[in-house]
Amino acid sequence: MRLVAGVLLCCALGAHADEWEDAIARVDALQADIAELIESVTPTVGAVSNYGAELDINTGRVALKLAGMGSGVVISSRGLFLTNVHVIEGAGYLDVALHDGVYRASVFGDTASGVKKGDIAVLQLHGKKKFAHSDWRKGQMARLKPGSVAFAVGNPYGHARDGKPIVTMGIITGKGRAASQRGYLYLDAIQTDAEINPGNSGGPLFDVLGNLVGINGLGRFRKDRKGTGVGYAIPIDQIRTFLREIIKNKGDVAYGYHGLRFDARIKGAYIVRVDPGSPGEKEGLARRDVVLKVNGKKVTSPAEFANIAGKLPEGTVIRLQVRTGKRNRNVRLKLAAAPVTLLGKRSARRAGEHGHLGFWWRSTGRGIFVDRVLDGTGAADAGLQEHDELLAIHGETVTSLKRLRSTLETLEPGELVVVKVARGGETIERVVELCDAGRQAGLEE
Amino acid sequence: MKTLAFLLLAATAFASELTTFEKELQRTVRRVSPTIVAMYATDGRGPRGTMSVFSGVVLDAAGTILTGQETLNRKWRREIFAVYPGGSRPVKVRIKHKDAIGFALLEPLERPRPTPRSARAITTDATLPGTPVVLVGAIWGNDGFGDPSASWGTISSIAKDGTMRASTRLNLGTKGAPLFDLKGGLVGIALRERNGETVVLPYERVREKYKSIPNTRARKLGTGVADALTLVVEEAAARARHAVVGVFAKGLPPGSGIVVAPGFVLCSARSLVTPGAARAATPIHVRFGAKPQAEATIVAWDARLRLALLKVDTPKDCKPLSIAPRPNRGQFAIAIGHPQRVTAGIIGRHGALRDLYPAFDAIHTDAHVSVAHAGGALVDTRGRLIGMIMHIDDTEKHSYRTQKHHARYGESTGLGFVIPMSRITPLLPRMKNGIHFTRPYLGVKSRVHSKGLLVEATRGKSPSGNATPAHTAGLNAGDVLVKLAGRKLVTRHDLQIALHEHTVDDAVDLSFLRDGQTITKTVTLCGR
Repeated sequence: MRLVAGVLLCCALGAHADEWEDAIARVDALQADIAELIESVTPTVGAVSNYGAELDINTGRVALKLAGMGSGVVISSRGLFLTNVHVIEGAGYLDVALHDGVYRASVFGDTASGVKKGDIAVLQLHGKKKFAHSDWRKGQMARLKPGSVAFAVGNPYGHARDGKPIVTMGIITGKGRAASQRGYLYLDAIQTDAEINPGNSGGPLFDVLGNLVGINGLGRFRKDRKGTGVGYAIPIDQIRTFLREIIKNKGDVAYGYHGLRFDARIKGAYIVRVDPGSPGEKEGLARRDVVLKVNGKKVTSPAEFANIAGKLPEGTVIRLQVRTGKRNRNVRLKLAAAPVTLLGKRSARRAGEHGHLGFWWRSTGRGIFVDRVLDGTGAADAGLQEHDELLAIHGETVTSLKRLRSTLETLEPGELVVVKVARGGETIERVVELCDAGRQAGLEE
Repeated sequence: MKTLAFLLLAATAFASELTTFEKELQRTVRRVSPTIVAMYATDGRGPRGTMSVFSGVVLDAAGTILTGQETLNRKWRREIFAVYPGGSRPVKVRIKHKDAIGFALLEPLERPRPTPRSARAITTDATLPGTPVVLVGAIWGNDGFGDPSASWGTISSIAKDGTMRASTRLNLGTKGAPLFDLKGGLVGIALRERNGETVVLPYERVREKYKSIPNTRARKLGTGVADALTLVVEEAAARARHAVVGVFAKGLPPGSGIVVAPGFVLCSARSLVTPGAARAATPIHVRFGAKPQAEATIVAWDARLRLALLKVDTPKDCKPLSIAPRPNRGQFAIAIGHPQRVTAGIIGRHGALRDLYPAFDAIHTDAHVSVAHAGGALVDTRGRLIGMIMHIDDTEKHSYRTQKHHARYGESTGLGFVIPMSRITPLLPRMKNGIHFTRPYLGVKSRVHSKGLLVEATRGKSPSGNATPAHTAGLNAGDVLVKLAGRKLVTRHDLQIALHEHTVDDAVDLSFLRDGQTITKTVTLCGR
């Protein structure tokens, strides 16, 4: 009897061992697939560092303080880089660290306000002719269903600022979600439980085929900004609509504005107010109208309406079917740019955008003296030396720090100014080309 | 016809294990979502009154709902409504049975249409620490309840009172939500969150108390990828658990440790790295599994990595784990802490930042690791040891002595750092002989220079009175440090890394430039 039991046990254990052999083989294959996918997409992901330059008026040293950080993804071989607006907000000096180095980045296009409401920002990277990029045209939203696997790649807490991004894996929890934080509104967003922490913002979300399907931007955080397993990403179809416009217009594209206001507590997409002067008013929409269909799709709540109509660029025409009283009618509404108050003002001129003389100084009771001339600046080219006493800049006498500060505030990088110094009893005048504070004066430790 | 065949062939050719895995997960979520019910309890005063939101799962065709009892224990509660999947309006429900162990059964007052799908429960003797599970609930958002939301994690531990802990996280609205295994079998319901984990009541405990609900079925693992992953993660956790121990010292929060050799346990020791602190912390106790605590002594510590080696009588069946080869990004990793906390995730990155001291070459993982895991093991799918779990939390400074800390004791930020064994193994021989590793001191104040590190000032004696290497090498201000111990110095972090790779009393070569000439001297590193 014991023999039989023993044999059965051995068979069972053997069967279990075989089961495990098969299982580990499959898991090894799964891991190999994941590793291959990660290695193919991570070269396109970069860590964004947003520095503000602070001039210390006592010494002339410029300190680059890290004002913000996030992630982003390269989307074209020419170096277009996709990230969130709130990462580059108050855009000072932007550095993007990719796997092969740190590249300077500037906001793409002429204006700097970005698409604030929807949190999509495009940067231009400088420094290389061809960049490894993720194709923004390939991601398919229809493939993503609850349970789909997704990879979030980015720079959580700044731990990838050397250009080697960190990958987290999770599943798609849901689609079509709305979330908002600090003035940024995400509509029709993807919700995922891949760990999204501060610093992951702007970073890409990839599906199992390695296609870009979203840009992570918002996470629900607990106290002290710990991730909770709920993260929101802007879906790629929304990004595509805006990217085409941004590239065509070479810059800023606003989210479309219709001016219709709804009440979520009343059944259906019931209009309670139409903003005066808005496209909605122009088309004759008024209180008590109910929106039945948008672009052919039935809408039964304000949230559904926002998910379709709230995420389109200005200038788009939407077709609405509206019931007024007892009649249905069709309306064509052209979305306008939102009024300035909604988008926010352009950030004030950033510190450090002023011209820098190219040397550090020290201020004593007897005057201001050159302490150290920085390599590669206009001051070095002009032959200024340590211990020169600063007398005048650009025709203004600058023998006190207060005068120096007020003079510097009027000057821009690249300007040529005449600097008058005293050296060994002689007065010397030199033409100095002012340099960019953040780029040239602030990089030494 | 030919194109169809070609397309089919092409499709299968591209189907990798990853896409198959994804399809299986999607199918599971699709299968279980129709069993999820979103619910809210009101005080009868309409939209302006008080409301609590939670989730539940349907057990039978009549629409009986299983949920947690906690949210129903509110004095103001008057009415409960359930939104059945596919239904257009909320249905009023009433409590059929409430039980102190934490569950409640609700029945609808009118027949829900369409007939809801019932969840199929499985026995939990098959679920072990490490079993991957999916929590599916209705998260409450700005626009009310959305579609059911799924998030995954693992069964982290099985507690003595019959409940389980899972590494999923509860969000607003998901209290009472069900947890399923990767095949869609109902495992239990989420009662509440505690120490960063979800407390789960197994379905079997519910049925013990209330017989008139469907019985459980045995779990059957098939041949799919999700099945394979479940089996492998459970097996890896089972193989490695014996080597993870609990370390308890006075004044410190309970932590974990790893058996690295017979008689030796390695643990995380943020503060046990000076003789005074070590004395104050004794006696240190180590617990193996459920056995009573054994007393341990500190043999040596590494102040740079903040770990300590303990000597303790290890039981015979407690063999050290084999070491895993260098992990790849994307590889699965299982984090094991004491007493039984098992979480899983992937390797996010190998080789942390140069300026993230002391985690220069740490491995990053998204398995939930918390303070309780510190000192525990990270293993691969075969149960081999990848490294020791550190706990670096950038969001706050832990204060071990305050109430605040203990409340957050178990929580994870989703970012875990692990010291690779390749860094620890070379230290062990010396540590076993009682040699401590402390941060060496060079005695130099430097700043970045185009050719290396420019020495701005030197110190002849360290704060504790040792002669510094700067003094022995005769460094002056104006010298430019070029190489230390074979490492080229470009930034100050390179200097930190070079020092970090060595310890006090190590003899290393220091190269520096003076007046255009490179001079190399051998110096002995001293302590602070």
